[in-house]
Amino acid sequence: MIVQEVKESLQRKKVFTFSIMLVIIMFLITVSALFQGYTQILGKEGIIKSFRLLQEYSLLDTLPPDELQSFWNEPNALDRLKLFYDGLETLGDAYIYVHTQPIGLSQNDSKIDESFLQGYESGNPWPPSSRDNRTYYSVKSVQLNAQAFSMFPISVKDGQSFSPEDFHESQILPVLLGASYSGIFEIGNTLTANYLGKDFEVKVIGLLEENSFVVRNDEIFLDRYIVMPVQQFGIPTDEDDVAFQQRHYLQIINGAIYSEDQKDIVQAKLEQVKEDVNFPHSALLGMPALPLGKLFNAIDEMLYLIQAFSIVLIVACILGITILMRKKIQDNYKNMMLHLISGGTLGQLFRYVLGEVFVLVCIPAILVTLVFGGIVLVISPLALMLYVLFMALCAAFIIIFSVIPIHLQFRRLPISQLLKREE
Amino acid sequence: MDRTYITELKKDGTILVTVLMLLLSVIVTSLSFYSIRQYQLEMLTGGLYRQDSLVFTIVDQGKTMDWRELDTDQPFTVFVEADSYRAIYYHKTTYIPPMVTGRFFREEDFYVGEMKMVCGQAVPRETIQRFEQIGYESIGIMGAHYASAIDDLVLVNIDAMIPTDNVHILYSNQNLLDNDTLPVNGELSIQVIDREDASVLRFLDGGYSVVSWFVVLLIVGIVFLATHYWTGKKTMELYILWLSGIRIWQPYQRFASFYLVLLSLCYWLVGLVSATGMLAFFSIQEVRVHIVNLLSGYILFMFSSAFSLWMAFRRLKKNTG
Repeated sequence: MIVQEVKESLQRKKVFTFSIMLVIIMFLITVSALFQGYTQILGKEGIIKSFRLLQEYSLLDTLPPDELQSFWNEPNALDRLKLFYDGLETLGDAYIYVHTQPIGLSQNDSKIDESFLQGYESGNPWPPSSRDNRTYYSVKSVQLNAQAFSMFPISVKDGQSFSPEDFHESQILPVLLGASYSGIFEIGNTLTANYLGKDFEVKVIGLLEENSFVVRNDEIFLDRYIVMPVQQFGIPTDEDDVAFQQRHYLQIINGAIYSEDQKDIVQAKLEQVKEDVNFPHSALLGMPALPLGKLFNAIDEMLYLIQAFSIVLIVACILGITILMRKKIQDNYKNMMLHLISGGTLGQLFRYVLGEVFVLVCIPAILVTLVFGGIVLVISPLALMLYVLFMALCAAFIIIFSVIPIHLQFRRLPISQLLKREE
Repeated sequence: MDRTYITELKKDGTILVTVLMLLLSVIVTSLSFYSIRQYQLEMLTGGLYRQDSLVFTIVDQGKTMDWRELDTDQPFTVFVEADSYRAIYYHKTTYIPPMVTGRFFREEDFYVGEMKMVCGQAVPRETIQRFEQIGYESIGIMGAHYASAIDDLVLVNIDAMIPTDNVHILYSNQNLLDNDTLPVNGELSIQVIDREDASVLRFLDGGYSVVSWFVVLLIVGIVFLATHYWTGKKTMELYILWLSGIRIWQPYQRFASFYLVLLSLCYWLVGLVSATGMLAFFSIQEVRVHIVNLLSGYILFMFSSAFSLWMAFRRLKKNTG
């Protein structure tokens, strides 16, 4: 009976019924798009959330160029430097080393696109150089230690990521390529690259996702970069190797400590390491900075904008749709009169109204949830659950706000008035 | 107001339509706020560079440029990057960032032999003093209520910079690039740099223009239905007039005009209140954008209600022969 009545009522004003369903669909699509945007930003924030409370304390070696040689002449200078680096890595706080040292990529067969060359963005791409019948292109490269690699949002799209062994000396140096290198080099390709004056055989083990980034003062997007692990080396084999390791280790101690602690505590930890390994030539540089501070500010602002707009939109639209729904129900008053004359009760009529509103709201809600559910599921299963709940709440509010005024009207309305169309 | 009159307005749906229109006007106003703030966020996190900016170097590096001679009627903005600062020139209009104190560059600040600078809110006092010692006059401090890429910027007027740096960033609504040349003093050969977007928003991957389109469709739909609802209430009245031998065109015109005036009043009441409120917190330029957005919204309102009124009249005409 109720199904028949609802069906008849919906068919009575087809254009209006269809239009109101369309409006509800548009409303639910809009709030779904906002929900998806909001959860997507939250998801991205989750990736970098660990940085929220951290402060970045930059380290700088205090060895001026003219004192450098006298330092290397000290006994066990390189070993003490290596021990100092080990001390930084095991400080208790994260020691992050991110450095954009270009590497000389040897390419004799094909030219490297200018956009990968060091200096391209500032209008001065470094020209290729020739040595031992080889042409070297200075390509943008970033060196990361294991802690930096695990902390920053770097994900591998194809191939494999760095393993802990990749951060120790190996015959072939594994590298990851930024997303723009796709189609230029293949995974498994072996290349020759010159890093700090030493030639390495490097092997491409993976390709990064687009927009992966690391932070060194500002965000560095890695799409056009070659990512190298900062390796630990054993005893140098010859004089050239000694010189290389000196350059390498003197560079990688200029990273940053990421800590929740105040400067004096971090300072004390650093002093302890310096004392333990007898390497006094390192100091904290200036005031601590907030890594990703601007990104967090942008995230907060975006979330605030979406929240504020969504609240206005949801409140205004639910009230608006409720008003239109009321019109749809009032159109049925003539029909309701016939029911009352034929012995129907107000309770029955109210159930018809409820059924009609339910169908008008739930069909669009189910359709939109099915379509957008798939998109939201990509973000996370939890997001999908929240989305379904959110859609159910939106639909419930429309139904409640549409039905309550009618319910009150039914309760107050003397039947004779309704029959006389004095509603 | 007479109680009977209020009951009458209630019965013929005028009050509900008024409430509905006020609600829809609030949505349009919010959408306008949202897009203005979103654009502000994009510009500030992008360090005042638009995403469609042309980045280039001038092939003949020794050439002294006079950007007033760029052959275009369209507004454009050009920046030159230097190590510790950035130079700016703009023609007609540019994006003006929120200011903490003072003002941003005006057109009359360029090529008049003066050295002016606008700094970000995080630029150290010592840096500003260093520029002032060279002869720059600090005319304003820029920055929003959140930290952004403009906070560390030092901007100077383009004719005050030492022309040693060569990376230029230009944006305009017109495509000025023709075969690696720009129309300055005849033809200026340039080398285009395909620079990646360096804004932090790149990581967030947020494109929300699609939401604006959904909202536009939603507003069109609700206005259409509200008008349909209101004309439905009036149809019976018009039908009785027709039965009494009165031509319905004139009374219909009166009803339609009343409806459109009512809709306009609701819309502009919310619009003007929001624009006035904006004056306290937003720049004049942003208030202007808001008014343009409101005008677009108004056209949308008028279009969908006029379409609905026209459909109702056609239906009425069909029924009354």
